[in-house]
Amino acid sequence: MKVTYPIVTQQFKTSPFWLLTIGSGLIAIHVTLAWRGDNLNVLGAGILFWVTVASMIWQRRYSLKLESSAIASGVGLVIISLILLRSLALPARGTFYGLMPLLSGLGVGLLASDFRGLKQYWGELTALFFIGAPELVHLFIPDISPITAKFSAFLLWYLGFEARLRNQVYIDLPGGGVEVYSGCSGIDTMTHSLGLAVLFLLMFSSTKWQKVIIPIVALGIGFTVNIFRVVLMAALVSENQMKAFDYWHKGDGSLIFSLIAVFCFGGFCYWVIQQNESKQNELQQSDLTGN
Amino acid sequence: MTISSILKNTSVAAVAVTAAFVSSVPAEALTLNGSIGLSGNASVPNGTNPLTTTIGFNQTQIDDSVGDFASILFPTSDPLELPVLSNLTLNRTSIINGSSANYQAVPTAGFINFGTQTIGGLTDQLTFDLSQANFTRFTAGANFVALNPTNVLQGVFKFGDETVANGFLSASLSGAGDSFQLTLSTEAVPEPLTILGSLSAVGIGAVLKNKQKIKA
Repeated sequence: MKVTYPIVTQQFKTSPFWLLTIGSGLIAIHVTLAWRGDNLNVLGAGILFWVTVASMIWQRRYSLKLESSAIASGVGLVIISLILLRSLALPARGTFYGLMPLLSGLGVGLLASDFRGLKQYWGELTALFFIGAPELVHLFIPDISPITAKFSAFLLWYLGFEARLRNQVYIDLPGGGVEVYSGCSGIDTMTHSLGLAVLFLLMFSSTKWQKVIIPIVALGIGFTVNIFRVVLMAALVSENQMKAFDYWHKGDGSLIFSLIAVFCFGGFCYWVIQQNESKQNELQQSDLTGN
Repeated sequence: MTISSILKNTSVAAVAVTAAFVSSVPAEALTLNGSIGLSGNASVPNGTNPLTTTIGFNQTQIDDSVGDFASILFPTSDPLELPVLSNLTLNRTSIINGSSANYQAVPTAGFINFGTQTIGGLTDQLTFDLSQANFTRFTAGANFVALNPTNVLQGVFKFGDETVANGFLSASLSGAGDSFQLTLSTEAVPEPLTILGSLSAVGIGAVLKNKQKIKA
């Protein structure tokens, strides 16, 4: 006699089902922590990158090699256990918080495909790194506030303001001044834009030169948009427009700057896609003419 | 059932339990919230409207602490005598009259050192960097000097992350006794929010991908 199970029960018995469950649980923990920690930047980046990574995995679901060894599964389990233990008292910001998405990806990847099989997830792991990159980048890159302040003071001077740079980070104007803190240096906007560039390169085909140029353009857009933000803040303080300053600094107005950066970068990406398509069309036409 | 599949099943159970727990536990934040008041002896040099003057601080004590600062503790035998305030150099910016002038403090990194502290379950070095402070210095006779703030003192608490704080510092020399009072309150300064950009990037990415699919 052969025992048969309903289709739903059979799905419970398969490895991909459990991997999907573990992955979904870790995503839920990460997003919940970002939400409860009131860390809106990580929440937004989490939604964007987790959706992209899930979509990339889903597209390749039939071609993935899902064979793991006991050792790799054990290491994966240890990594996931550490994440779970640490997440019970997780701060809203910090090194571990930034590393959590990448570690989650590594843990699930080891459970799914052994150490050798991790190669097939390099794109997804790179994307996961960029969810927490703004939390980690401060550890490796020196504070760029003096550079931001210098460029902002120069732009203010160019626009006709009597701007003076003091002690590297203070921009003094006749009616007041601002200090460029590390939080206002633009490094977060730049890292965010760089993450978008990585997503674009992972999801769309590009040439070698574009692989170099696109991240540089993303960093440039992030830095430039932040310069204009600092200039606007300084000008508002100088004119004693403190209500307007609060709106653009703390209120809904502060959301606009990342939107501007994303739309600028989106426009650039659209142009890159158009260029690639027109080149492809030219090649196809020349092939047809040649035939 | 293989070892690998047992480990996977264990992971599923662990993730599910933690997900349920995390959703009910409030997350902690590294940014500080609250206020602190300090006082102690000050070394205020006398003299009328000097070009530069340096204030020293000693025997500092915490008078009141609210919020995250309420959990600040110092070792019972403390050779450093924490909290320690660094010397503060003031440069004259303008003379008001023969007995008083305006001064500006030189920005001082690590102006206040609270040593290693545990706040909200996190242990780290707690320091306060002074960014900006302006004073009016008033002299009366040989042994009376008063330093009064002309606007809000600004600085940054460093405890893992940075927390902007405002406050007031006043110091005086009166006869043989010098003293100072300093109060600091944290202020929430948001970083530029990228959530709207991230969410719009989801839409832009979907549009570009769809367009590519249609053309293909």
